[in-house]
Amino acid sequence: MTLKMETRVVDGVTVVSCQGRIVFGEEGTELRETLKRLLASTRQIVLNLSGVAYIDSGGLGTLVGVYSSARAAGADIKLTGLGQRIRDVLQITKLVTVFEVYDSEAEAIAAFRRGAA
Amino acid sequence: MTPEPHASRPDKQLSELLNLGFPADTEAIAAVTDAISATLVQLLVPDEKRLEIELAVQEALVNAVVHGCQSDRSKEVRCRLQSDPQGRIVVIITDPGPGFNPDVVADPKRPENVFADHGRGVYLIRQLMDEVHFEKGGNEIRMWKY
Repeated sequence: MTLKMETRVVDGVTVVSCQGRIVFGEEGTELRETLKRLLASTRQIVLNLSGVAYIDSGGLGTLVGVYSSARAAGADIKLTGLGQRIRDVLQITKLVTVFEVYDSEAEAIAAFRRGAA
Repeated sequence: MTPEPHASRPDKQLSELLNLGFPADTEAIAAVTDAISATLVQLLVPDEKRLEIELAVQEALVNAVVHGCQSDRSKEVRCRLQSDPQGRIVVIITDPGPGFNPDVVADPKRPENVFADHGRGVYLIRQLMDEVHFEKGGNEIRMWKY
């Protein structure tokens, strides 16, 4: 498998840092299962994609599916660390209008804090 | 000047750079895209163009494995990388499946499809490559990058 994930909690927000490829198959499945498991115990997730060089339409589908489930359950997932390649793919597919994207992890966490205030 | 379409260009004008067959298993795809990438690096293809070709190849290979072969490892997907005398790149991916009609693929940008968890592959390929042809009833895709 070419995707590694590391989870930590910062100011009450769960941050998932991904490294590798998010593609159709084992990688997408593992990301989906990890996020679903976390959403059972937290409503605030920041997905840091700064280590992701590559995302395909299967990976995008995974992100959209988990995001939709999270929102329906009253939770939220914010994105940060997007390289130009992933930004381009989100733009081409119009998914840039779906996700909240932040330039830095600190900004994404702060956005959750502002929402909670 | 708009380049001429290549659909009818004789294959004898093309140089074959790679010709890989692999079992229809999504776990086998990364090795193929890595081989394509390494060859494009050797050809000094600019990074931006190389990354667009790689993603288009990834999408087409997943479609061939999952939709063309139902991930049946006993079936073979073939991926060929060629270039023409002008250095333009063509990738040809073939599967033995039932084929499909590329004209009826839904537009993933439509509001009712934006939240779908699938259905973006063919659209992405068309956006990333300069020319895309589906042949043999959808069993073969030829993708050009100028």
